[in-house]
Amino acid sequence: MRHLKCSSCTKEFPAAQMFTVGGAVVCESCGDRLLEDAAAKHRKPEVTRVIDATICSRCKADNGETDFRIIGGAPFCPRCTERLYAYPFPLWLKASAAVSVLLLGFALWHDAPYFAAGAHLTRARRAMEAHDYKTAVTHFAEVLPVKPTEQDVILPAARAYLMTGDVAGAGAFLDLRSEYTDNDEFKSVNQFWSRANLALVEADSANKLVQANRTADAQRLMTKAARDYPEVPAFAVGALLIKGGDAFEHKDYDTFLTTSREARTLMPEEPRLIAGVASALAAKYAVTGNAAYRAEAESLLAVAETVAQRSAEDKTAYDEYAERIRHRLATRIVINGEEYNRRFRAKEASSP
Amino acid sequence: MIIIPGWLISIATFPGVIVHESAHLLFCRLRRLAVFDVVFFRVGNPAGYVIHETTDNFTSMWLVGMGPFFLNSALCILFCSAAFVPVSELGVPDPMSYFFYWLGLSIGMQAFPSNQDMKGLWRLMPQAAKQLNPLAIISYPIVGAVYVLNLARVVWADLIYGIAIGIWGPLALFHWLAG
Repeated sequence: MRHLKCSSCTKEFPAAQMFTVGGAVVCESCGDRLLEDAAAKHRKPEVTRVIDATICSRCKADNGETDFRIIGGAPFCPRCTERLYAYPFPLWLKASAAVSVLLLGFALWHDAPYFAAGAHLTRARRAMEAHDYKTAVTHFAEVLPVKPTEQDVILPAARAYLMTGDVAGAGAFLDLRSEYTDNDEFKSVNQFWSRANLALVEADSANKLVQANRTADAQRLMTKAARDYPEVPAFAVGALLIKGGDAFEHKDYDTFLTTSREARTLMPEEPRLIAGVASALAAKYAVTGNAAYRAEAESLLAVAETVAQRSAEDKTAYDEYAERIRHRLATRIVINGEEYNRRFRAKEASSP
Repeated sequence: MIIIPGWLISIATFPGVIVHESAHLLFCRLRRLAVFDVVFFRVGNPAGYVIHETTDNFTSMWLVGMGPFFLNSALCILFCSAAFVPVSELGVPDPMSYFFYWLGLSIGMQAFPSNQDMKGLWRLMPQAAKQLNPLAIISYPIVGAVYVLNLARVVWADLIYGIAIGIWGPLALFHWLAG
């Protein structure tokens, strides 16, 4: 520890307890007096504390006559210096950081389904921009389980489902919100939804009319459904099938063949419609004996068989109608499905 | 314009203040600068501070001064990313996601270096720029922007910045990851 003499009272004091007032080194009491005198003369001298470089400014350790290292204008002993350069992060801060990292990890795990849904949403939006509604629907189907409520997600999803003819799928999305912002997108989808539901009701009524043998009314109603919901070819196909079925019943196989071909044009990848053309060709072969009809019918049956492999349902349906069509080609006897079942399948069913 | 006292904003965004001061401390330690005192958070002005040794090493001063800006911004994007998809993309009302949005935005809002943080840089910039230190050269517009942004805090520049990086950062990250 160093000692200095007060320039005013000439007494000796520890340097660390002294000050400079206006450049003069003084003890605390002389310093106070000098400041009072200066204040009376309206002066404000500069005051600084005298630094004793042999005393650590933090732990007050005394280094005798040897100076400590000066850091930032103050002396520090080696132990305090070490702490200054390795200022510790407090325990609560480390604990909070650890908890935050754990929470973040948990959130990322907890949100994994949302991230997956988000990725599908991005792909669905891209598919929508490319007007590839089938692909969009497959991605939107992966978004549905997380129950999104964002209108910008629900309305495009509903539109994609409606474009593919899946009205129930569109309904599943639209049910996710009870209220919508009445903007252009909402108005457009809402109108689409209304048209689609109207078409469904009309198609359902048309099917009932077919069963009641009111074929003309059924065809009119199914045609109306096709006009109300033109985005989905199934209703136009339905109207053609009703017309073709009626022609078949009246043995007008030319019309039956024409409507079957038109229906297949609308849904070229549908195995039942491919087989429908084969059925009409088989009927034409039965009445004309023209081998060209038979060859085309067999060729189309092979195509239908290939396409039907995509699902068990299509495969079962193919097995049922292919047998009847082959019977028609083999025997040149034209009977409808009901009669075929009565003649051949009822026996099989009743046989042990 | 809604005027909200600074101390109230500090309380609402206290995690950001703590992260900001922790970043100063972290870079002081990494660059071997003595730290005399640290207040991670308090109700007052400033809401937190780190008193550290000054140095003539421009890179050290740059890292200590700008460190919080980069660390807070990165953590803002990280925490907001945990909330972005459920809340902003899908509109799923998930409480944990809202918590992370608050945490991320509060950290992002406190990303700006203070004018005090910039003073040390400002002192060393001319000499470092003369020596063609690239950090010093790019620091001129950055320091200028920080002064302007600190003035613009009265018009919620800090909140706008937090929201901007808390939304756009995760959005860009998500779209990049989604392919």
